[in-house]
Amino acid sequence: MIDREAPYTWIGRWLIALLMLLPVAWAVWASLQPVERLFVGAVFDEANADDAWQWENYRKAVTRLPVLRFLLNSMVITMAATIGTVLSCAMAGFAFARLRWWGRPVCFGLVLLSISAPVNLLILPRFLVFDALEWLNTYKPLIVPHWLAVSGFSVFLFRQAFKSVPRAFEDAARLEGATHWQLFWNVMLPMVRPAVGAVAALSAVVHWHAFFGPLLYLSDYQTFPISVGLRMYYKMQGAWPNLLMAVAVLSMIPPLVIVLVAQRHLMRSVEEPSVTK
Amino acid sequence: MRWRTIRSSPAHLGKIVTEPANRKDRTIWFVAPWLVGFALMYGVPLVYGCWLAMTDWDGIALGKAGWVGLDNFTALLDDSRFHQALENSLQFSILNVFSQLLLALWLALMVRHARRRGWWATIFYLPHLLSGVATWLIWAWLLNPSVGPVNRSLAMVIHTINAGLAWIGFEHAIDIDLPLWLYAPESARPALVLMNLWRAGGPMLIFLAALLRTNPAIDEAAMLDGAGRGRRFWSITMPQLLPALVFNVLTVFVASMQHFEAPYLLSNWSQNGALQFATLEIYQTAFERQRFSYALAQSIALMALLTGCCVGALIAARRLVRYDFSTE
Repeated sequence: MIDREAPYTWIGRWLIALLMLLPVAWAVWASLQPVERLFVGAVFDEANADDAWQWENYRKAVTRLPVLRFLLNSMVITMAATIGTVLSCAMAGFAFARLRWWGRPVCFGLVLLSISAPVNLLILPRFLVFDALEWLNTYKPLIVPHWLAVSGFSVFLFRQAFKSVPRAFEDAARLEGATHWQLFWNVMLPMVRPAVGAVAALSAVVHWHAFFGPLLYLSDYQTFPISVGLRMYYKMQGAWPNLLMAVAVLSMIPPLVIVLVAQRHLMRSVEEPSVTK
Repeated sequence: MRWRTIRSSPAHLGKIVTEPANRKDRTIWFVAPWLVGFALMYGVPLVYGCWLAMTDWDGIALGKAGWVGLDNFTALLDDSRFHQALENSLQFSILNVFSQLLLALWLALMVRHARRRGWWATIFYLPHLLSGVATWLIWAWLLNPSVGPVNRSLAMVIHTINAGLAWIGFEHAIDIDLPLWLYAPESARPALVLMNLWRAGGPMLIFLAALLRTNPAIDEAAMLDGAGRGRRFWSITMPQLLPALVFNVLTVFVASMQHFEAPYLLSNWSQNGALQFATLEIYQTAFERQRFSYALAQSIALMALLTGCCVGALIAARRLVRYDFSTE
């Protein structure tokens, strides 16, 4: 079999993996240190066993600014936006893959175009539209568009998934007199569960990290998500790197959990590659 | 009962087409959310933005805005601040695309034949999914020139080597200044590129997917003909990877050209404007200098520029890239 790798590749793999996890490991370590250690102390290795882990750093960190509030806000926004993304993008993907309608090719071209649109440059015009709609300082700009299938990438993923469902299932359902909706909801959607998992996980992570949008659209700090809250923390408490790292670590837990839960769905194509002909 | 007319025609042989059952079951209900969303988030902002870019609106009183035509766009031509920002973005993007894709390709090649491939792919992809404001701030501390662990480790290594060399008779053998990373104009952008290297997992996944879909038969044939590893990589694997490479170059380039988070969070006075990137400049024009119309003109011009680059690159790539590698 030709599928053999060059010798000692595994060493490189382990080394790079360790290097890549090091920043996160350092952040966890730093979040448990007294602040002086980070300024005068050491890197990992110097003997400092006399100090216990400073678990109260986390208590201090979440009381200096309403960090728990920020985390809660982020969770609300992320959940609402993710549910909307999955539902609306699945519907659009279904229409692109399984229904015939006038203008479909052109519209699909627009979907592909929207995948590569320079989003950070569009944000200023979008800001003005939201301003005109009087949506600023609410969560509407962060949630409503995602109920309208605004993520071209997710639409594309769903379309590919729906396209791969064998035609026979659709025919059988149609013969039974299923409506579009019944076909979509009862037959097709359960069959593309891996795509649902992948889109849900990826979009949840994206919404969790969203920064530029919330920075522009929200001005009351009580409504900030954790991304903007972290920046505020950095500006106000920057001299306390241990507390800053504690907040950073807290903010990385949800994406980490999402990735671990959805790992199988995300890496499906990697773990069982399609057989080449 | 929901039974509807089933039409069968030669064109639809073997397929069954039903009429829409009732008004609630129209295709339009599936398309409508996307249609409205596309209009709301792409169509309307673009048209509205183009229109406002031709006024002299200050962001406050829309009623007082006057029509100025293309003045904002012609003003762009001799705006040295904006040109400098574009240059900074471009320099960063080129460096970033090159280094990030090199690492991504290397990672993909390392993961390709691993026994627990999915697990390794997840490990390398993880930083990409974790990175946000939190990781930029972590990196800012890692690279802190005086107290950050990176420079401390470097100093320790150099100290150890020097001590060893001094013992055999060379005094002060290595005498270099450690980089100031984000606190010097010449090292700020490389520091940002280094931070971005950490996120190479995204493009790696694209490369990996392409690698797993390469045709093993061609590789096998070349091996039987006696081609070595390097030869097979350049002549067999690389041509099959070109579509993925084109995709990665374009997406990473467009993303780097509108990099906002990191420069916004990490710019400081000692950089002398090295991280003053295009998107940051646009943000400041709008929200700090209150020149909304002009900022819109900047956004639209850069969007047009990037789109032009992409279209040009895709047309050029059509000549180079072969998309079909079936052996039939």
